[in-house]
Amino acid sequence: MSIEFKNVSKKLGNNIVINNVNIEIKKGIVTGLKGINGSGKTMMMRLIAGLIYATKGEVIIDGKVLGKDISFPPSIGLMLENPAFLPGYNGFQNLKMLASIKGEIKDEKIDEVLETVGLAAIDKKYRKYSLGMKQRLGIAAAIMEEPDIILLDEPTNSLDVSGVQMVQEIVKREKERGATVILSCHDSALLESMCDEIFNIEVGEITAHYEPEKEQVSV
Amino acid sequence: MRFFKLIKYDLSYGIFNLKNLIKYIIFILFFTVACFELSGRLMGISSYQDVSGISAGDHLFYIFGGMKEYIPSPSDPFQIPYLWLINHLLILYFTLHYASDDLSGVGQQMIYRAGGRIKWWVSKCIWNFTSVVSYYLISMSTIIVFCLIKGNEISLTFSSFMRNIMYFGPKDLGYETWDIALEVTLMPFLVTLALSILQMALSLVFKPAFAFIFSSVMLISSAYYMTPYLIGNFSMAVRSDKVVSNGLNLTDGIIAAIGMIIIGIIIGVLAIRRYNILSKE
Repeated sequence: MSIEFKNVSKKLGNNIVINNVNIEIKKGIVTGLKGINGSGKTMMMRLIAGLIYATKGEVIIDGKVLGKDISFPPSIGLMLENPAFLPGYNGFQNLKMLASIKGEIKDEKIDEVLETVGLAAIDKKYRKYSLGMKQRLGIAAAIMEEPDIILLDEPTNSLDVSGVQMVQEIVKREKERGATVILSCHDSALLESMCDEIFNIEVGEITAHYEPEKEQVSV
Repeated sequence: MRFFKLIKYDLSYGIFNLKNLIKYIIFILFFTVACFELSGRLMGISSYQDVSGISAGDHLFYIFGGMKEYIPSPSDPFQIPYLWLINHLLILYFTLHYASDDLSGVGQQMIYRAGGRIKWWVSKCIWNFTSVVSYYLISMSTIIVFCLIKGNEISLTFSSFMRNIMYFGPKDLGYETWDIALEVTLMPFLVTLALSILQMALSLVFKPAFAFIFSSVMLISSAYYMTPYLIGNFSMAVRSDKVVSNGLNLTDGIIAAIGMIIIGIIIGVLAIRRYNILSKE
């Protein structure tokens, strides 16, 4: 699915969190959002997810305007900031509860995804999870239904080296599957190693757009 | 199909969940204490009044009856009908945070899977309705169990001695008993539901705390001013036109409550369409 921002601005209270963004994200590629905390990366992802709507301009998913033609992208998985789950349920129960809404996947697929993120052998309630385990479960929830668009906000936070490798493998696999993956990460080198293109964001504005393997393109 | 799954989630997690047990226990305790309080007051008047034949209806009347019309006077200070108020406020508080907490928590993962914001809102309205029904079923059940244990009548008849407990005011129609079964069952439920739905909608527009203050002010004002424009009046059986000559009509109360429910649902639909779904700070 292609994603287009047309003159998008977003105001929350008195703060302009996204300011006149015009970008196009092509289908099936991995896009990185780079910027310091509070630069607007998460807000960009929330705009794509339909969790917030643009104050000005349009976010267009495959030709359909979010907030007008559609409420949410029809096929999306996301892990934003600190993903929330039911504290009294274990990982499998949480994923099963989420998956039951769409009813597209079976228990075997949930087991498989838990295996992928390294939580298959964990039978703890979510409230007893470490930060890293919570992060892994968030990633599992985002990818389990094999959505066309995957948003991963700081997916490597709280993860150890093996966890970072896991994220790299997941991103690679999802790209091969044909998904459009958008992720943010504090580690520039890591982000560049995973992404086909990167948008640099500062104070809600896109200040640069480049493809890590090519020369930088100014915006 | 997704919509029904969302409702199933809301009902199973938002109502039939162990984490709600403490709320149900508090509610049972409140009604048990209220029933004991009525027993104590009846004992107080038993020396000069025959109080035999007390029924479940009398207990409902005592708790949901409210207070007579208040006419400000230095000799008659305003006394809040605390049992009536606590019943409403407990339910309104217990249902206050669910929707807004859901949207800043796991609901973020549910709402886009459900595919529509309005579906999420309607599911929350169904949850709200079921929650309020549950609390009223708990209250009725507590009263019935109390009456069974005390050997009271399990009926919706109302004893004439309740006049000495409730004080209907100077406009008392003087009847020996009252046909107020719906006034002490349906109307408190409908008024709580109307306020709860409106409160849930307002919690999307403002903050939940503001919505709760709005509900509280509405209820306290209803106790102070006897007017059909303050919906709490319809949930006070003592202010019914079957009890006092200037009382309020049941049909008007039902229409007002349904009207408020519809207004709450519409405000919620408008609010959720542009609501910024953000995580808790």
